[in-house]
Amino acid sequence: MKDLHLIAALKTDKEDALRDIFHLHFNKLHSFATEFIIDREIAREIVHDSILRFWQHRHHLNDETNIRAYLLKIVRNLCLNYLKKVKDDPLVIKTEDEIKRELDLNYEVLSDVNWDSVLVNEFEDVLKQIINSLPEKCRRIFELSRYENLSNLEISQNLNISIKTVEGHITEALKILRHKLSKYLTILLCLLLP
Amino acid sequence: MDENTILQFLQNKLSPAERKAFLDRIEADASFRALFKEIKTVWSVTSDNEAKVFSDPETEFRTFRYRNLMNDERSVKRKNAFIPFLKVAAIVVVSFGLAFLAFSLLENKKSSTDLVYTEIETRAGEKSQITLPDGSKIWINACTKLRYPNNLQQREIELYLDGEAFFDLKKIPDRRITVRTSQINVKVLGTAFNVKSYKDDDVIETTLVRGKIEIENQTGKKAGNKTVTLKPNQSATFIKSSNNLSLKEFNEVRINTTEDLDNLKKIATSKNSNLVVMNSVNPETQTSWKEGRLSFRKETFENLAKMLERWYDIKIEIKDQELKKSRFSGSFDKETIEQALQALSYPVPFKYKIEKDSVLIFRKITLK
Repeated sequence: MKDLHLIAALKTDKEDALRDIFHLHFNKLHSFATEFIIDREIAREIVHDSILRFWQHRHHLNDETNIRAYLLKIVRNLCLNYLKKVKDDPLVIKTEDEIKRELDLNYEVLSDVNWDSVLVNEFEDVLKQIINSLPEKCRRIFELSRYENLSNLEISQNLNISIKTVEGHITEALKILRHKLSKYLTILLCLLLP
Repeated sequence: MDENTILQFLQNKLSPAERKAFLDRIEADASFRALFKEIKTVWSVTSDNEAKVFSDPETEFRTFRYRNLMNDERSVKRKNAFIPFLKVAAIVVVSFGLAFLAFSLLENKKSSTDLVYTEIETRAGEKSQITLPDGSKIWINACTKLRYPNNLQQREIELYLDGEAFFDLKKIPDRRITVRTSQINVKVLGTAFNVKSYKDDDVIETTLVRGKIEIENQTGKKAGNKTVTLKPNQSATFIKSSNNLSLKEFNEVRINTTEDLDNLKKIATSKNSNLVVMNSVNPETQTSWKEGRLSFRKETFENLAKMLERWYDIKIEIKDQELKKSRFSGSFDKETIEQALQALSYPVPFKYKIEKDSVLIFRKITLK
């Protein structure tokens, strides 16, 4: 696997290996953190700190490590730290109510134990499989929306369908993903239990 | 339909009132909340907008390297690990626009940090971008040194620039920011502008994109000193070679055309001026470097060579006086130095020889 080489290069302190980490993962991590932190700049700082932790930890990586899953774990932890502070800090209590409420809600979502099994090495492959198993049109629209960053309007114009239909397909995709993932998580939890 | 409402919420399509109602319902309705949590989880694991490119990974890598890996004693190492919470609180408070007073009271106690500066230095061929705790952004071009105070909540902030940087600064009431260069100061409230002030250039160029700035000479605050105000899409070129004048005061000329550097100098000389303001420029040419593009317009080869030296981290020597005066317009982004030189040699034929870290440029002798 690709990660094996990269891990070896990281261990020899190769700067280019670190550069690869940024090129391969920074945008994904940033995009993930922003879902929970809302403010892009704070999310960006969190990702920088996460990569620093990862870099400092490079000599302890083992060959089995899936770098993306590992980075996502760190990002999740640092996002949780941040959201916890926002939650408990008296200074921010008076801040704009809706954002504070949303951040608190995000804390609740992100602190769910399920994340421990979501961020395992195989998860990304499983996710890919599930997305590939979506009905063709549904999958295409979901990918255009999530990965290619087209707005619902742009998708509707591209495919000559109504916005409502686009929303319907995305909702449907989320529903199928949700069900299949929770099935996967249940199995995984059972496997992990002693 | 519940799931559709959740999608609207996640895609940020709800009005503020609907958003509030949505959050109310989440709090009151446990099964709706559970549904939301599941969908949000799926939503976030499939969040991968690489196409949108939030930020350029290469720039992020360089920023990271500056902050954490450079052991050069001139570049201050950022403190390890997590952002000090106070800074985070600062961003939250400021971006939420409330409790500002509480924060500044808190910050005042820490006045011992007021004079602590962070210095960032880029080498030839390198660029960097930083975001300050108040959300201000600064792009730093090659061969540049920039110093900024760690405490950005003071009334008077001074930044020191040697080189070129693009500033996009947050406006905070009652805060004055001054960018100091070797010979002039740029005073700002909150705005976006580019300053190019390299030691080995004989001009200092300031271009305003948004907001309002004032340029003053180094004696600064002394009463009666003349300042020059720039509006968006205006640019001021200060001519250093008329050095002794700079310490007295500006003698400004305003022109309505866009001129290249050599013409600007000629205009300045003919009007006995040391500062030429162009009333309407396209800031793109001056700021495209931050998007990774080196743009130049009717630039003499001599000046262009300096720009290429910084951009490609290479020494360039032009062996022919006539060639130095040839002019070029264009832009480079992904080109290697070799490709760049080749492209330049089409309109104005010349020969070049690339050695390890230097380029020699000769006149092309044509045999008829």
